[in-house]
Order: sequence, then C-alpha cells, then structure tokens
Amino acid sequence: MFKGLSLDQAPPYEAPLRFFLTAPFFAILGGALLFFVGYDVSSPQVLGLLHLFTLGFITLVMMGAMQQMLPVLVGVTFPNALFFAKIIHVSVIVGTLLFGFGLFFEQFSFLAAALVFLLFGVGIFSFITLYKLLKASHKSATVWAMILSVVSLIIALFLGSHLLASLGFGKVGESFSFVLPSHGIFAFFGWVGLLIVGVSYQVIPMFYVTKDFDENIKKYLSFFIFGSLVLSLFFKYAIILTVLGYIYFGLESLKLLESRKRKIKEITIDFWEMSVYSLVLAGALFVGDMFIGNEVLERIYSVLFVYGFVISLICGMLYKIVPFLAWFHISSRGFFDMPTMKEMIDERDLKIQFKFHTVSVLSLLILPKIAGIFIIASNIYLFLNLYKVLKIYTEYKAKPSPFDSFKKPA
Amino acid sequence: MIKDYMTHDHRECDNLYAPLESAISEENWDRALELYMPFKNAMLKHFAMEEEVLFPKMEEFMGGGEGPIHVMKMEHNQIRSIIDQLGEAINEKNTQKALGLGETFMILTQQHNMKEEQVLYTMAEQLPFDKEALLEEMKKVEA
Ligand SMILES: [Fe+2]
Ligand SMILES: [Fe+2]
Repeated sequence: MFKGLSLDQAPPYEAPLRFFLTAPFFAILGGALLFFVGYDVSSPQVLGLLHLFTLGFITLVMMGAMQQMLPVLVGVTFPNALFFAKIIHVSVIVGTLLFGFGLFFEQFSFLAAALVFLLFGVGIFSFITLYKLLKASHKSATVWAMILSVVSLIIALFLGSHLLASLGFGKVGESFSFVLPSHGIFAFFGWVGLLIVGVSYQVIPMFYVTKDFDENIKKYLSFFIFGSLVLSLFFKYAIILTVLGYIYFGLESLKLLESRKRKIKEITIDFWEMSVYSLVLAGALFVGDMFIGNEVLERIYSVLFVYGFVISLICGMLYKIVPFLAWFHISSRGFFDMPTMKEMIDERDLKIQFKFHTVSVLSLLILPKIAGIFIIASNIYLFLNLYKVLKIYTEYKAKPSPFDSFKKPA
Repeated sequence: MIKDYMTHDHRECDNLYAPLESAISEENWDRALELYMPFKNAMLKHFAMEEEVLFPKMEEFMGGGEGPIHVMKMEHNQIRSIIDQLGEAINEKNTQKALGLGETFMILTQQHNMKEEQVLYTMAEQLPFDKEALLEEMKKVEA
C-alpha cells in the first residue's frame, strides 16, 4: 500500500533551475523589442510580445516550480526527472521563440512550427502532471487548486492552438474573437492564478510563519474561481465573480502577511506586497472596465495583472526557493561549511533589482518604450542574482562529498 | 488525532522560533540566548516523540529501510545540526550568520513538516494500532 511512495526524491537541482534561469532572458528579449522596435497596438505584434512574458517567463518558472513542489506536496515524482525537465524545457523555449518572433515580425510561417513545439512541451507537461496530481492519495487544498490550474492550462493550450493555427494558416475566422478572450481568461485566471492561490496556501504560512488561510477559503475558493471561469464562457459577466475571488484572496494574503510572526522585514515581503497591491488595483479596474470598455484601462490592468501581480510574486519567490534548494542539495551531500541562504545573495543586490522592477511596472503603465530599458536592467539583475547561487552550487558540486571519505578510507 | 496533535506541535515550535529571530535581527543577544533554549528543547522533544515512539511503531507495519521514515530521520539530523550552528552564531553575536542559518532552518523545517503533515501522519492515522495509547506514550517522551 505504501510501496512506491518516496518522500525524498526531490528532483536534481538542475531540473527546476534550468527553468528559473532561462525565464529572465525572455523578459530581456521582450524589453529589447519594446525599446528598440516598438509595436503596433492593433496588430498581433502585441500578442507576440505578451507571450514572451506569459509563456517565456511566467509559464517556464511555474513549470519548474511544479516539478519541484510535487514531490514535497504530493509525495510523487516525475519519472526520469532530469530528462523530463530537459525535453519540456527545450520545446517550450523553441516554441515560445518561434511564436514571439513569428507574431512580432509577422513571419506567419513560424507559427505552425511554434504550435508543434508548444503542443508537445506544454501537452506532455500538463497531462503527466495532471495524472500525478489525480493519483495523489491525499488531496489537500493545494493539490485541488493545482488540479484545476493544470486543467485550465490544458483548456488554454487547446484554445490557444486553435488561435495559433488560424493565424499561422491565415484563416482568422469569426471564432477568433470569441476564442481569444476565453484563451486569455483560462490561461491567466486559471493556470497562472490558481497555481498562485494553491501555492500561497503553503508558502505564506511556511516562509513567514503566519496563521493558515481560513479553512473555508482553502476549501472553496479555487472551485469558486474555476466554476466562475467556466460560467463566463456562457455568461460574460461571470468573470466579475472570478476577479472578486482574486481580490478577496489578495486581501486575505495581505492580512496574513501583516500579522506574520516573523517580524523581520525582508525584500521578498516587498515583492509580495507589490504583487497584492497590483492584483487588487488591477481587479478593480478590470471590473470597472467591464462596464466602460476603455482601451487605456485595459492596458493598465493588463500590465498590473501580468507584470505587477504575477512577475513581482515570482521574483520574490525565486529569491527564497533558489538559494534554499542550492543549500539543500549541497548540505545533503554532507557539507557543513557552505554559505547560508542569506550569504548566497547580497541583500543590497536584491534591493537594486526590486527598484528596477518597481520602475519597470510603473513605466509600463505610462511609457512602454522606456519601460523596455528598465525591464532589461531588472531582468539582467535577476539573472545575475540567481546565477551567483548557481555558481556556489557548482563549486560545491565539483568537490568530493565529505561522506566519501567515510566510505573509503584513503 | 496523532496528525492534529503533531501538526499543532509543529506550529508551537514555529511560534517559539519567530520571537528568537526578531531578537537576533534586533541584536538583542541576551534575549536571543534566553529564547534559544526553550526553542531548541521543543524541537528536540518533537523529534524524540517521532523517532522514539511514532516511527518505530509505523515501521512495525511498513518495514524500515530506505523508505520515507528513513528520509525523515535524516532530515531531523540536518535540522539538529543547523539548530546547533545557530546556537554558536548567537554565542558569537554574528547577526548575518545567525539570520542566514535561521532562514535555512525555517524553510528546511517547514518543508519537512509539510511532508509529515501531508503524507506521513496521514499514513499513521490509517495504520491499525491504538492511536490514543500511542499518543499518550509520545507525550511522555523526554527530550
Ligand atoms: Fe519530523
Ligand atoms: Fe514532525
């Protein structure tokens, strides 16, 4: 009955890390296109640009994080973790680049190839992950949120494939304008949002020693969000319920963070706060826009949702997860002298990145072209901060494990 | 009931750690020293309840070896070693070192507890033995 349950099989460090470390490059690329090329708002260029961030940055990180979390949360592992990580990683990268460039430079012939790579990479990831999650013997609130998140990813993938195919083959029909918002809604409020909700149930109490989220929130919120998403396919205004669900979630998480027992103020808290403020503001604007339909409002809430809410949160979490995993893998090989998590990245470098990030969000709202520069700077910093940790890890990896000297006396 | 009790005990340990960390970050070393021992004792007592009573009982049904219980014990050793290093850093009044170790301790412990709460304690609840009696036995353990 308990055979096959392994608790320790965290994937090798390299598996999630390759996802985390490539993500900033997509943001840098996006920033460069914004600054050097610029875009035409009413063309598919915007979609190409957007997906460099949503697929290239957000989805890559989230895929890496899920591979890391599943063994801990659910007690199951991915078969052949490193190989699995590699093929998904490469296909999503190639697919996203083809997608981004194809739309941005209007090379529609790239899109068919992009479609193949994305269907393959995202498809394999989502079906295997869903299967593993459904098999979990004990389904916590987090596991349920993840299940709904991955189901949304599958829905978004199929809707997105339809859109990409219509663009690629130049057959943009009537269905396009209906499928497009549905794809966006499931990708963002389903896949990305529900994963954040589910992971927050675990990481907020865990990283900051706060109370747990309210039992009722944990039990019902993700179903409420997913249910209202589905409903919105038939009745457009149901999406307001979804957004209200997220605003409620944001305010609750802020409340927990403020009452945290670890009083120490660190930069990841700033990232969280920025994320929640963006979420609440974006949500309010989104609801307002449902009744007004204003293009400026739409741009503002989109920036706040994607860059303000999600990317802020991801930066903050990466600064927790990446050093911890490095420390964990080094120490489980028997070393005692390695730097602590706080010594791996200098707090001052984190603060600089936080500033660049904040300016990126603000300038995206006003002057997207200028924002390009700050996005580039912020993501170079993000990469360098994470890369420092990787370097420490590789240094230790090259050393013989102290355990070996016990096993075979020289 | 084992699950509830032990989950609650995890939170109690967190609650002992949080003020210790605040004292360290304020460089209030007297207070930090004062808070360190009760925190350490609570952790050791918790580990002892698991290693001396709960785990051996579970192993009667599940067998020992390289399974989940073995991993939990290894993680206990890792955490014990950090708690000791944290004590040294407090004695040396080394704020950065102590905060860094504290951060590592926290995340390591949290992910360990998570695995116990989500999987191991749930398994314990399903095994056919007298939980109430075992819980009583666990409470009697000395750190
Ligand atoms: Fe334990
Ligand atoms: Fe425990």
